[in-house]
Amino acid sequence: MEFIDYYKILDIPKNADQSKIKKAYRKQARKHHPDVNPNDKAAEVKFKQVNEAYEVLSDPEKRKKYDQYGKDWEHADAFEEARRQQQSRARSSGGGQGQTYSGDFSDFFRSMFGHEAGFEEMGGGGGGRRMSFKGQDFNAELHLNLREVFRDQQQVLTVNGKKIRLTIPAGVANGQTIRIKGQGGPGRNGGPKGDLFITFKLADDPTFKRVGNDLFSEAQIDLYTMILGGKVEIPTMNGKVKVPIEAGTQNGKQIRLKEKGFPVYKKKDQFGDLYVTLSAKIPENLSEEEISLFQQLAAKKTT
Amino acid sequence: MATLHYISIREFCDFHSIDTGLIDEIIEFGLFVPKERDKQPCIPEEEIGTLETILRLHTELGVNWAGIETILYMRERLQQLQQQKQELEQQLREFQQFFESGYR
Repeated sequence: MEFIDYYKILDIPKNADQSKIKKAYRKQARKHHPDVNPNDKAAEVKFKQVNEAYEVLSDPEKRKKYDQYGKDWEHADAFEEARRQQQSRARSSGGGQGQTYSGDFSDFFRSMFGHEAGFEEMGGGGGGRRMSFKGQDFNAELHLNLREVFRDQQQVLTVNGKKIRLTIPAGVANGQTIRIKGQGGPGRNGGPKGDLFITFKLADDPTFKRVGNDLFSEAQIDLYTMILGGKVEIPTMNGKVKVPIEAGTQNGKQIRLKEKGFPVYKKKDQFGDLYVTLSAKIPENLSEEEISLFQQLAAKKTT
Repeated sequence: MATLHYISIREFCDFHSIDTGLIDEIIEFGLFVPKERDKQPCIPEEEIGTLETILRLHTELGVNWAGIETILYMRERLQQLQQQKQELEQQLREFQQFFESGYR
């Protein structure tokens, strides 16, 4: 566990008086307050640190204790002793309310001031976020394969121990977030539930690359078909399709298969295109006869 | 599912232990428009989050109503830009993959 320099967090000297501490706290809080920094995890962490620092330094008793142990943190025997006492006290004082506020404080804080210390102060002090009427919003990440979002998907998620059935519409993008109303934390005193935000992380497919709604793939075509033309079966995400190959098709030629790409998000029956890059498969393990036929062709070569 | 979804201002104030006068001020300033339900001013469910943000900015940071209006506007812009940035990053990733994999 690392020593946390609360003075540094609030950017004040060690001898700062209470009014200076308060001023510094206000300044930092305005800057890092989650309501001013939406979707910013770094700011949220910083805000918690600032609150924790203020929690300690604004309370003369806690500050004294912190200064005392903080000074010789390196050989913190006394600290260890205090910590042991704290822990046994915390244990004997029972379970508490099960509120999540304790999570807002660092291990460092809790080992120095105990689990309960945070609670008492939170209600009155200008500390952490107040209780909301509306429940907490939850964020979750869902990892899926590209193929899994080719069609509408039924999924059962477990969020905070609760099972949630949801339909993931085909064609969601990597990194896209959808909001599911009312599946967050419970509201208080009749307040509405929070929402659940799910962010999709899609793994690449080995065969098909997706760019927007289009798909790209490679196909090896039999040498003779490339030379003479014909029909081949090309795999798409939705089964194979028969595709005509022109005579004299060169390696690297790209063909477009219209509407064989990825479904367009929330647009029923609309699809992107599939682009297939063709290359000839050179025959292997030729028989003697085949080799001699190729030699004859080579001898006839005009260009 | 579309029932309830309104909370009376009184209930909301009781919960937050605030005076209804504070909400009146917010309404007066035009930061929030209440809806009538059974002749009572109510808060639509979708707006509870915003109202709580307004309250926090006011009580925790001491921002005045004009400042809060500005912050709310900039928050919205920020969220739009975050969304745009995410989409652009996604597109960039796709194009990078596209070029790295040697397609033409």
